[in-house]
Amino acid sequence: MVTADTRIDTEVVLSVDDLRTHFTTRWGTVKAVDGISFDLRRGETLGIVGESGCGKSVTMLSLMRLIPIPPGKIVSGSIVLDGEDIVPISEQEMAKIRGSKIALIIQDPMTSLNPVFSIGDQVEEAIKIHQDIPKRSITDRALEVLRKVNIPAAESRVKDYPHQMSGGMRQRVVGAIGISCQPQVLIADEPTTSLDVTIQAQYLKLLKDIQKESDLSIIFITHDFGIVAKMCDRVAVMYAGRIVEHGSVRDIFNNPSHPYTEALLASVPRMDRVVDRLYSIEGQPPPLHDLPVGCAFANRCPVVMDKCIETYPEIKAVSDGHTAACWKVE
Amino acid sequence: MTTIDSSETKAERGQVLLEAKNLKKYFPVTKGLLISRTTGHIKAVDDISFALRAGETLGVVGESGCGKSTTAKMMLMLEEPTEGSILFEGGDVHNSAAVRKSYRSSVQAVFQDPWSSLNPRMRVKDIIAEPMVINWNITKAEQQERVMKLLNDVGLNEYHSNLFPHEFSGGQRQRLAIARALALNPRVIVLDEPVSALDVSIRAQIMNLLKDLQETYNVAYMLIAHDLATVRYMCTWVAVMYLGQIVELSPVQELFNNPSHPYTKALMSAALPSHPDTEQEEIILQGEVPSPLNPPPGCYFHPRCPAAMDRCSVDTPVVKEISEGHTLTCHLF
Repeated sequence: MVTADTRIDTEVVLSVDDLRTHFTTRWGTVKAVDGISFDLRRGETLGIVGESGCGKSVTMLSLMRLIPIPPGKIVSGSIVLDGEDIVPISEQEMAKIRGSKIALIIQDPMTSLNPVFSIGDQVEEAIKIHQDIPKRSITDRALEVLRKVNIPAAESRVKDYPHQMSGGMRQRVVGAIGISCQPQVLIADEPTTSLDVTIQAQYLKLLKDIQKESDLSIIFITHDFGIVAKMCDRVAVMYAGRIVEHGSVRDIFNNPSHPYTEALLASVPRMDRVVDRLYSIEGQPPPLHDLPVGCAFANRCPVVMDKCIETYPEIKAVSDGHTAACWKVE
Repeated sequence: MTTIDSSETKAERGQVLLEAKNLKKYFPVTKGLLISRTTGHIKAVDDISFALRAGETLGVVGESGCGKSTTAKMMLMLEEPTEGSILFEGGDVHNSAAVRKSYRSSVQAVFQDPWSSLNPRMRVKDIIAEPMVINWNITKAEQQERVMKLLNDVGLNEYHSNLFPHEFSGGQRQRLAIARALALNPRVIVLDEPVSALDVSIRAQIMNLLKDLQETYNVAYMLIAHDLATVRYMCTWVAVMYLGQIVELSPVQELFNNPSHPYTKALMSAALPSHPDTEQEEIILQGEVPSPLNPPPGCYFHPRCPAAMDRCSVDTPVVKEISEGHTLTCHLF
């Protein structure tokens, strides 16, 4: 497995700096993503973990520039992809980048494929839009990517419709569309939650193989620490719209420094050992339209101090490449 | 029938409450609209036997289509078995009306999705009281008193009783569903993936609550799950199902220390690791689960089995006991 340390020299393909995406609603401004920064290097896998409502999906939509405007808006920050900031560019320019430089695999293969087009057509469509090549080569290229994602008998299955395939096969087709234009960054938003465990294992292995082959950078959006442990080099833990802890996968698992990360890891049942009683985090995350001035986790935190309620903690370095936003960290 | 206090009916921990014997459920597949004829059967559940014990939890794991939900439906009497019997405290529920009546109120369910399992037009107090209104002849005041007690039991407050389900979060709704299931002092609760729709930090709350309630009320759980880590935390017994059959049934410790059936091993290796340094055996199963309409001959698992032998495609393996309480269906043993 490639660790973050060995990747330190490779170039940064995606750099997000102080990204803020807010939504205007009748309850007030919802700060779904509120000042997050991270870098993604070539060939690296970054996991973004958090519970529902923590802003991980809005982060994904912001990176793809798919935020519905209104009510949403990227209010500040930059997303530098391959040397170019994609926040200020026009929709037409973004349409060229979307799919060719940065691609997305979404959660549910039942709804992400069009039921009235054959899977061959749907894979070809992406290639047709982004590459100016003759029809014959488009078909060849589509077949090639379908073989790459291990669709058995790809030649005969290109004419199949999504309903003729199983969930695992459909998710492979979605993956094929994602990699069809050789993007630099692939965002996978919980790609295996609707799959069975043995099929999930096949799919994750496939993603790893493809990544190794083409030096792809992957962002995994997930709530499952198991996927993080298996797939990721680095992890960003999100809570209430901000990254509360960020580090290599071993830093996070061996030395969790934010109380939220620590509590989350302790609340997951384990397969490899007997746990007498799970730690449970009481309460709920705060509503995003009414965030406290201090740390958003303060009301659920077991080691809360007065300072936490008054001021939001700055991001501090725990060790090299490992940061946490907590007053406890010195 | 009208007792609120069920202390006299409490069973000893570990005593067998419910036994399923050779359960089968075949769904006919028909062809033709006007003159329809049966062209085959989907063998959703094919000859399974197990027991539920007071104060203990039986986990049923398997992939989609393995028959675990059909099994749960038969336990809840929502489906009639094609063959086989369910014995509740010694009586066959399908033969005796008296047994059936007590069975209906003694076996309750908590479903996966708390957004669709609670009626949005009813107040919490009415949702929880409904089973009592139907089954027990008690006064309104007694009902309300019990509703308050149940709300306290599941960690909610009395003021919640006048609210509607949409005013609650997912975790709280699942607590309401649990309170409703507990209303009639059930002996058995069927839990169909009770935490998989919830957030990670809420899952632990609900799992701990379920364990505490089991301790207090000595109720037996049948937990349908696909996550092996959840099963290890919650269960006393585990049944691994594949294509309508139980391929391995064992006490939970024994199963995790000594997984024996090739399918159980494959499931465990496919499960996600708890730590990035966890060493796992790499068994990636080829292909997908075959159609239950036309299962392969011999052992149903042989086309995907890494340890398949010649006889596996011909002979159907029988259930064997390899150690105390640990049974499996495989030619390797």
